[in-house]
Order: sequence, then C-alpha cells, then structure tokens
Amino acid sequence: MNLLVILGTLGAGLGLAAGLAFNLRLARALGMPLAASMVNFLVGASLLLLLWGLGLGGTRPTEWPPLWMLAGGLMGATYVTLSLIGAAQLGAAISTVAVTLGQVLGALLITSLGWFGQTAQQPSWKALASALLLLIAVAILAKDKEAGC
Amino acid sequence: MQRLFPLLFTICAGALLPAQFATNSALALQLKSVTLTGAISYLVGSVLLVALVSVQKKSPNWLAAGQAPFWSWFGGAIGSAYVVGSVVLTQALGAAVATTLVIASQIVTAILLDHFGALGLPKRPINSARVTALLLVFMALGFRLWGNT
Repeated sequence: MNLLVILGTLGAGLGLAAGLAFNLRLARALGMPLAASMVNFLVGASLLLLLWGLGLGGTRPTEWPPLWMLAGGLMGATYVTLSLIGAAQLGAAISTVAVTLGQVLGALLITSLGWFGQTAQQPSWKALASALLLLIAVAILAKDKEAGC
Repeated sequence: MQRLFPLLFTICAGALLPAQFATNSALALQLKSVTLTGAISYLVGSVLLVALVSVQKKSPNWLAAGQAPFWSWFGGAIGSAYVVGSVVLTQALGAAVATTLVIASQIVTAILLDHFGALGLPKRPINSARVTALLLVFMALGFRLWGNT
C-alpha cells in the first residue's frame, strides 16, 4: 500500500510537470497550445489502451459504469482549455497560483460534501494549513520564475 | 478589475482537477482497471479537444511540428503516469490528500527540471526562494501525512 502511494505520487508529479514541458515544446512547433493538448490526450489514450490490451493494470470490466463516471475526461479537457485561456489573459505566474488555489479549494469542498463518490469528511485544521503552505510555495515559485525572465 | 473574470474562471478550472481525480477513481473502482479508466478518460477528453481545435479559425502547423524533436510528441505518454497515479492515490487516500501529494510532487519535479534545464526548459538553478518553496512543500506534506491517520 505504502509503496503504491509513493509510486503514485512520483508518477503523478513527474507525469504532470514533465508532461507539461513536453507539451510546451510541441505547442511551440504547432503554434497552437490547444492542438498540442489534443495530441497529448490522443497519445495518452492510445498508450493506456495498449497497456490495458496487454492485460496490465486490471481485468475486463463486468458491467457498464454509470454515465457520470465517464465525465472525468471532460473535466480534464475543460481544465486544459480554461487554464490555457487563463494563462494567456493573466500571465503564467498568476494563472498557476489561481489554478492551485482552485485545486486546493475544490479538494476541500469535494471531500467535505462527499461529491463524486468520495466519503464525506470534515476538513481538519491540518488540511487547511497544508493547503495554505502549498499555495504560498506555488506563489513564491511563480514570482521567482517571473523575476528570472 | 477587468482581470477578475479570468481570475475566477481560472480558479474554477483548478477545481476541476480534484473533481476529475474523484470521478476517475469511482470509474476505476467500477471497471476494476486503472489503465482502462485512464484510456477512457483520455478518449472522452480527446473527443472534446478535437471538436474544440476543429472549430478554431487558426489551424495547427503540422509541418513545423514534424520538425520538432521526436520526444515532444510523447507528452501524453508521460502524462498518462499522472492520470494513473492520481487514480491510485485517490483510491488509497481520498481526493483531498491525493491533491496535496500531487501538487507537492509537481512542485518538486518542476524545481528539479528547472534546475537542470531538462526537456528544453530554460535553466533556472535552485536559489533561496526555491529552497523556501521546497521547505513549505515538505511542511505541507508533514501536516497532511502525520496526524490524519
């Protein structure tokens, strides 16, 4: 369990940060960030479908899932689109901090209300403190990046 | 004041990420497969992005993208580690803690990639601001991982 959590954390962080760098490079060539995200999603879908076909990461499903569970991809694609527009309007630094703020607020809201199949759980002061610290860290990093330009 | 609207929708865009974590992990529970879940999530997102790209007046410069480094096309392959990792973490720890871990891991990875100027990113060595950001991230993790049993 613990190893799974460590691998999941490393995979998710690396996937997001490095994936973003890959995407930036492709977006520069395509001249269109949204098209780079589209390529991104198509490549990701093909790879995961292939891995699943090879029998990695689970079995064959036995029944159809409820329709709302398929909306995760729509949320991901909407996030990508909105954050690109946000970055263009606000600049990379402010938009990064705004996205992180949305992330921590959204996570607190979803967990305390028990939405999307989550077990409802009141946020502790520790959860709020860690959210605040992450937000400050992102803000410091964003400011430093802007100063370096 | 005219920045208020883009600011608000960028914050909302960020909130879509933990919602996606929760939705995808509900799907993974139903399908009993993280790879198939990731594939479906990316496919559904792809449909939306293909539609959005095709209604734009501008079209992507595929010819120039052909000249871009080969690796830049595979951001989606790296990104799929993010989708799978976020599902694994959300199933194990819930959306709130998973969001904390992913943000933390992303910040650390971004600082490392910047430090080495990897993946075509401009080289930005670690400085005191970045060390402060890292310390805050570790404190945030401390709050989250010790005490919330």
